[in-house]
Amino acid sequence: MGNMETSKTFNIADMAHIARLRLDENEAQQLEKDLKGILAYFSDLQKFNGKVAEGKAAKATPRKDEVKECCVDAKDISKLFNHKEGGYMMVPKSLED
Amino acid sequence: MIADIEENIHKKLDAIKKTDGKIRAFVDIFNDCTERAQEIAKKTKAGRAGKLAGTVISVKGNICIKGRRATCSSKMLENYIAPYNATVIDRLLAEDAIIIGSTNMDEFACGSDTTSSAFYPTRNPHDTTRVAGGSSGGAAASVAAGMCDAALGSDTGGSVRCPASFCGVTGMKPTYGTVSRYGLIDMAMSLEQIGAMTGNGKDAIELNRKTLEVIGGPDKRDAQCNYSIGKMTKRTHAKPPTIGIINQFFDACDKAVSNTVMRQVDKLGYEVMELSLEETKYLIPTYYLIMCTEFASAMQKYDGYKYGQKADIAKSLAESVSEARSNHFGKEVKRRILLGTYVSMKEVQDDWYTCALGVRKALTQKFEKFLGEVDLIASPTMPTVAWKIGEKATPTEMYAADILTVTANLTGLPAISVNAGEIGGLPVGMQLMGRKFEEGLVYETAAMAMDK
Repeated sequence: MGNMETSKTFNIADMAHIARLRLDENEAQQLEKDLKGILAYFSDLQKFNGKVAEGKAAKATPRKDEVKECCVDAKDISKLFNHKEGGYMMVPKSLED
Repeated sequence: MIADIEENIHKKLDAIKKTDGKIRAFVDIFNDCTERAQEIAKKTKAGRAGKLAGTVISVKGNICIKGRRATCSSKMLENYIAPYNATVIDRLLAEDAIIIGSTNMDEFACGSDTTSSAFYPTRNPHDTTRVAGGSSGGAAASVAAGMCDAALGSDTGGSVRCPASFCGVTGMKPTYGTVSRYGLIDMAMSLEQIGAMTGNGKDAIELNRKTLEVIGGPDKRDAQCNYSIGKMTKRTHAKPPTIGIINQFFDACDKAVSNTVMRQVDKLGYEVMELSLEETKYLIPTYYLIMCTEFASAMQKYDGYKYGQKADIAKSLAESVSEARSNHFGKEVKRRILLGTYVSMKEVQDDWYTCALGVRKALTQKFEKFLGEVDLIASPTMPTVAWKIGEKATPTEMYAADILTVTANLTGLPAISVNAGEIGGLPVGMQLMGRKFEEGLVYETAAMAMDK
């Protein structure tokens, strides 16, 4: 993927939303410019990918999600989790072994 | 061994009083260090003092010291008081070191010159118009300006070695998994290690080795930290080492820097073997893609509820979290969070993050091969001497300066930076990278270089 494609898929507003960052218009414009420049600079990496296939890391497999009956009460939500630590509910591992 | 412990702490406090107003190496100075020096002096007289008795040590602002601020030089943690000691702190205190204060750094270690600190930049003691390097810039400057005997820094892509090079001191990034990260506020977990910084010369290298012996070794609170430090810091080779020179590393530097370091390598008088790393141009993208992905994940916990400055709970959850993060993170931190968020997205991760992991694997294999042919790899630590404050205009200019240091983090190898000379009054660092767990040979060769 080169810079042209990056420009199509990278959207600062989407990224800021996912990353829980609120950016004003000027900040968003500046960061978008910076990040597109950085991705263009990094796009050389794609060449390596094609050249040395044996170097590619094994891909991890995400675990399957398990849908459970949900509720709004915090105590009931807490009951869905067997393991808790320091006020956190521990979720299953994200990747399969 | 410190001859007069109480005199030593007074000298260091005087140096801080005289110079830190200009240098700005520290964020906090600890007032009780003279009392601790008195206690340790008594223990020394009674013959009960530890291995680092009276050694005055500064600690980077991302390492937790119970009851002290651990700010990471960020507005987000400006008022955070650590509720426990990092393992490295417990081990230093057990050996009677004196912790004098916490040092300035790039915000959450995001930077190579300590100008992204939310508080103030740290200035280079050799020329205060120039940067101290980063991200452990306060740590390096505190040692270089005689404000402490040693400092603890953390090194994720060169953050101990870069400022060591710029400030003319010794900085060691140990083998990954030898120093516990428990109590280190994380940046990128697969890359970072705590390391010691000490002055310039043979005694300073010996103090660095001694400090690593104290802080290193297995810790059940860090699952990656399983390796005994015992014999690691002592040399195990009988014959003179062969030094590898990666041509592309020298080509990436200012000519005067390359020449200064090459002269130092030649002076060692060991066999030198030329190596070629065609992948040099992939080092920066590989490192930054992996680091930013891990960094974005590490930063998720700062939500204004459990961690960080308090969110405005009158607003909706999403709104209050976004507001707390936006108001208290600096520009470079936001940039790296956004980059890491993007390159790890399911839709594009194969083109960026997974690809970088592949290159990392190939690089690790390549360096295993190199270190089968040579015993150490020597290079400049940084491509240039310390730059002027504000000179690096774009993020990519700043990132490119890490080209010689990131390999040790991507591969987990130990690497030291020692002073190799000066250009126009500004220090030049030489980096020596060794095989995993062979810090002993790295230290010994660095000390040999000081004799030449």
